[in-house]
Amino acid sequence: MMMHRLVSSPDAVGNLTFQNTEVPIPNSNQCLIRVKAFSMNRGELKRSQNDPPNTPIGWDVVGIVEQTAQDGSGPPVGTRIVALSIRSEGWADYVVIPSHFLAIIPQSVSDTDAAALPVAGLTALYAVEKGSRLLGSRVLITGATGGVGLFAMQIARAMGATVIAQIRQPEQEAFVRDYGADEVVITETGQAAKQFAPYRLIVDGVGGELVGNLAAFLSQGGICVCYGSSSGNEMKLSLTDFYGNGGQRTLYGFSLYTEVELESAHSGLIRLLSLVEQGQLKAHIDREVSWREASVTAADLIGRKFLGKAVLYVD
Amino acid sequence: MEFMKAAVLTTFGGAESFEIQTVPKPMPKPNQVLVRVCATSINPVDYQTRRGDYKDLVRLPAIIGVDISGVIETVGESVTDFEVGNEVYYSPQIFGESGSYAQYHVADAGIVALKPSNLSHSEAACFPLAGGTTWDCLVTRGNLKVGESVLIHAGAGGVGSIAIQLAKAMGAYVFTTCSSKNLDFVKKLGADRAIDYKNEDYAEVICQETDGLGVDLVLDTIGEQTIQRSPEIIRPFGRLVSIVDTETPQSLIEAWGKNLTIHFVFTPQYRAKLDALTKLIERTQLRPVIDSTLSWDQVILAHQRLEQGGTRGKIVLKFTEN
Repeated sequence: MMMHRLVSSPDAVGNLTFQNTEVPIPNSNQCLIRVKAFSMNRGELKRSQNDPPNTPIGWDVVGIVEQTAQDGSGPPVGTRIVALSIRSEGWADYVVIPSHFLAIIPQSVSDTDAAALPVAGLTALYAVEKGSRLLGSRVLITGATGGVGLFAMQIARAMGATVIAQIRQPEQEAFVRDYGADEVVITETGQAAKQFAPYRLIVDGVGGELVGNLAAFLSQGGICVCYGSSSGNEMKLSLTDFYGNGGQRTLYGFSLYTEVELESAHSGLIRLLSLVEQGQLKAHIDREVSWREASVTAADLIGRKFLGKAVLYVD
Repeated sequence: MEFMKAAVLTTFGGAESFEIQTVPKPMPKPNQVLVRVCATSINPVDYQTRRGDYKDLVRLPAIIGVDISGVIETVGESVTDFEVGNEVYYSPQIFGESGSYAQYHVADAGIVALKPSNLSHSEAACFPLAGGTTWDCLVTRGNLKVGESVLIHAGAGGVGSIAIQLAKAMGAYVFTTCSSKNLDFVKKLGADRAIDYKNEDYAEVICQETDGLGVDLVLDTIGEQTIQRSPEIIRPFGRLVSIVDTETPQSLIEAWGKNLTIHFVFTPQYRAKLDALTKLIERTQLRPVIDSTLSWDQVILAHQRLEQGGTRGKIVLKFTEN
């Protein structure tokens, strides 16, 4: 049986093109999923720019179980699920997913809201949980308007932390407050974040000069989790600030690929869905379009032409 | 020698086993503080101790009681983190030392914490033991995570009423059991699903409402059947935390089949736990729940009332206003 899927294509708009290929055959621990919708992350588009032509793409998937896993580990045929395609093959009519990378979507959660969760939500959840004793402590989220930032603020708040959001543009202050920020610092270099220091946890996807400056504002026993470096790869760190004044500070290099070995995506997605159900977690979805518009949408996302997430429907 | 008044347990037995006596006022050692007790509260362990459940651990005559809010009157010579006049709250080590049913108490500075600034002494006295126990159950031992679900047995009780609030502050979905008259009360504390245990089978409710999966964590404040039935309602690899010293043998074969972890909590005292609670109290994420406030010399009445059951939150014994 044949299907369509999106693959990398260096010369195409948004680096994406459609390809006709065989429907994959699941291993015994995998379910075959008929994809209904997916969301787009900057990270996977950036990665696809460097991929050889015709490489599949797609982390975040919502769909219906078409064939359940032979080993009995998956939900029954017809179940609506959300999944992380760790092999990045989700933007297709069909995808195979191991049972411990998917979760059943509760009735009250829409396809769109579920599709926004996997990579951004799991990154936010597992990154925030690298912090210890956050209940009642201060947490700084950098790049707060990004997909991970918006989820991280809400999760940290739900865990009982006081949330400080770092943003660059003053006009986005009300937006991040709406997503759980108790306080907002508007700064490119990070210096303005000093006013609410020290922080028990910093979740950073910005990198560069910013994260080097912020590490000085960690509390004794605090941790800075680095999951990305959108503004720059190199940082300068004041070591006396880092080990002085009580020390015990940690810089943590975060990769979702290995975090899901510590807690399965299945288990993390269940918790994220529960927060969505309780109204404690919402995605900011800016575009909902057919996947036939994937190329243009990808180009706009890379070009930062819209805020929040895009969800595409496989129709 | 100076003296003070205390409610002294003279014999193991009924609530009338207390006598108000004049006894020597204690002196702090170098690492201790002397605290003038403003308020204490009653815990189940108090009447269990009184009726002789822990005979081997308590020497009579004894001053019992495990919650204190008060004012530091003398500071031992090696204590650097407190000054005379500081308002503090803490829980004396259970069975380890003299208790709170007295006008004065000495304690190691390491277990004493500054009182939340937004609470009266009567309110603060509700927290040390029940709050510290709850902290151990949900944070230190139970490791409750954001987005998880928890069943809190007896949500209207001293530990239960704090546990509901703490679990909500940690971002969990809260099931709780209570009697029908307390359904609204536990919902006001934050419970997402209140189960009337007399008219509903809590295991059925939880199985149905978690699609047969079960909750991530159970907090048991009751013991006996609660432990044995827990595997029915906990997901595979889930956790049970119990604060009950049940002597009845339990069959745990189902717990084995589901790879459960069972924690028993006999709560140790240390300041960091109270400081963490203080932050939440000052942010009003934890509020005191007082059933009633009595004068400290009404200790007999207080014991009768708690032992009878059906109280909502804590019974406070007050010594002085401030």
